[in-house]
Amino acid sequence: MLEIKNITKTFHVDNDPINDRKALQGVNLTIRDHDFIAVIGGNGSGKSTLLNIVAGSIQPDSGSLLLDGEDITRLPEHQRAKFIGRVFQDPLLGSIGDMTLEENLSLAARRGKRHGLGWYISKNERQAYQALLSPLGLNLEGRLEQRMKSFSGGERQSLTLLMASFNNPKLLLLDEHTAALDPKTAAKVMSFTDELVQKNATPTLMITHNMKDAIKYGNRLIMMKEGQIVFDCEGEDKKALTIEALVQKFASDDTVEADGIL
Amino acid sequence: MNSLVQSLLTQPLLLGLIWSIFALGVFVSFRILNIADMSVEGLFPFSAVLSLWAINAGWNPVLALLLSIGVGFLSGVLMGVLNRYLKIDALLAGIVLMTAFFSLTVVVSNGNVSLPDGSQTLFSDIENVFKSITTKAWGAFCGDLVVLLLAVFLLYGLVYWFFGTELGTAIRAVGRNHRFARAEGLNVDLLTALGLAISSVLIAIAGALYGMWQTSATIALGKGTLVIGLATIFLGEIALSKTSFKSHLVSLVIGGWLYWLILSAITLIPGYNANYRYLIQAIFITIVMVIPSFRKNIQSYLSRHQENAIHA
Repeated sequence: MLEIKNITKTFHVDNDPINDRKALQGVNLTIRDHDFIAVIGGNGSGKSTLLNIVAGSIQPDSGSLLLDGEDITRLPEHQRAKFIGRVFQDPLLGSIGDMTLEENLSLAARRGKRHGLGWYISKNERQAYQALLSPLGLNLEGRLEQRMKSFSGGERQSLTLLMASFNNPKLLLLDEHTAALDPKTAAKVMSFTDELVQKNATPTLMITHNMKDAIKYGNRLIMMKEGQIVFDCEGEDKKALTIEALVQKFASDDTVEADGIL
Repeated sequence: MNSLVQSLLTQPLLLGLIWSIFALGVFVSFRILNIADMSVEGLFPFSAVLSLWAINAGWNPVLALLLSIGVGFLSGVLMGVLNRYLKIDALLAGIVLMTAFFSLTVVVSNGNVSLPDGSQTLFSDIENVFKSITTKAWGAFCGDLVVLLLAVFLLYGLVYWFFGTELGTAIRAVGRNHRFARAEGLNVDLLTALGLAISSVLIAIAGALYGMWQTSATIALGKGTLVIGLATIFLGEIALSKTSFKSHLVSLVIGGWLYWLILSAITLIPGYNANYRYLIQAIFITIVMVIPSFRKNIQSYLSRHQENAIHA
């Protein structure tokens, strides 16, 4: 369980208060162990800042983060990685193109562990990866020694997801992870995401621009606006949501387009 | 041994081997960590001068080498601290260290040191063994070749092994993508500093070997060294355009040899003036840097041409 308590963040530009941008203005959110939360909100609503603060890429000005009761507010990003899996929007960021698939997998498998002088992969480990990859039906198990950059965007994003879910993290952060893919591939990666999150029962926070996905996936939906959470619903209420209803609800928000893409 | 054999066969081979160790150091910083580390221009001559100073002071050559290795390690760590912890741009951090090393090199024997004849070096014992079998010049060459081949095999083997370990793989990941590395729980600052330390140790070893091989060293040694290292990397990549780590390493040794072969050949051109050396180096590295993209352009032009031919 992650408790986000009264987080604020202001970005200062050129040391001139006139340029200050208040990204988060007191955000409170508790991510329970069974939560798969879809976060929607327009550009500048603070959803990416919130995700970056949870991951540790950005330090908040005030407020605290409690993971299973333990204060992780000041824990550096690389030390949080032990508990947090993350998938970026850019498929090129979530894995290393110049390294092979098995090198990428072995790095993810050692997330939060000591990196010693043993060989980066063992024979058993290689077999385990093959067993893990073959059910995906993408013929990845035979391509372990291929460079990551030779895989398609969809394959890379699916693999990054798989890597982020290694070692059962206490939280999975998805940052518009299908936004850079074509619609068909995005749908495939999204349903793979759902499958993986359900199977591992990983608490998940997913930012998306796609309202349809936000309604279809997860048990809970929150909407952010001007650095605050302005709408939070779950369960049956969420199931009853429609794109029209969401658009209507936030008609005042001029970033909402009728096609359901924020 | 006549002078043509010396300038086209033996010298380029030995120089190529020494500089391939240097290039390996530059490869670690430039290709693995993605940092152009200028400090090598100061560290290389300092390491050469320091190891010769130590030998003149009565140190065993192995201890002199270890002293240089220690200095190299510290230099790399310092570079990492300046760049990663004090957030100084890598290029500037390298220049800061390079400048500091120039002063240190002058402090140690005024920046110019040479060994008296018959001094003990890492080469001398094995040279003497070969000298007893063949002529003096060939004996020296064979002895130097054996020592340098051993050093190259050992160091390249170590680097190949290390960057295949968990720790080495983590450093490679850091060099490619900081955001990914942090998300995978890697301490970017610490691992970058460690990688720079490994790079600088290799530079320092190259410096000490070069000094002992020449039995003299001056502060002027450092000038243009980064260019030589980079040219070696690029030349090797042109000669062996495969991308696996192993072939990358092999290409460095080939690149080192090619570099000195070509540069030695240039000195034989009638009217060559040693004052042109750095100018020639600069032009040379520009050419080898441009060749890969030039080759790509030609290839895409040819394939376009072929397509057009098919469609016509």
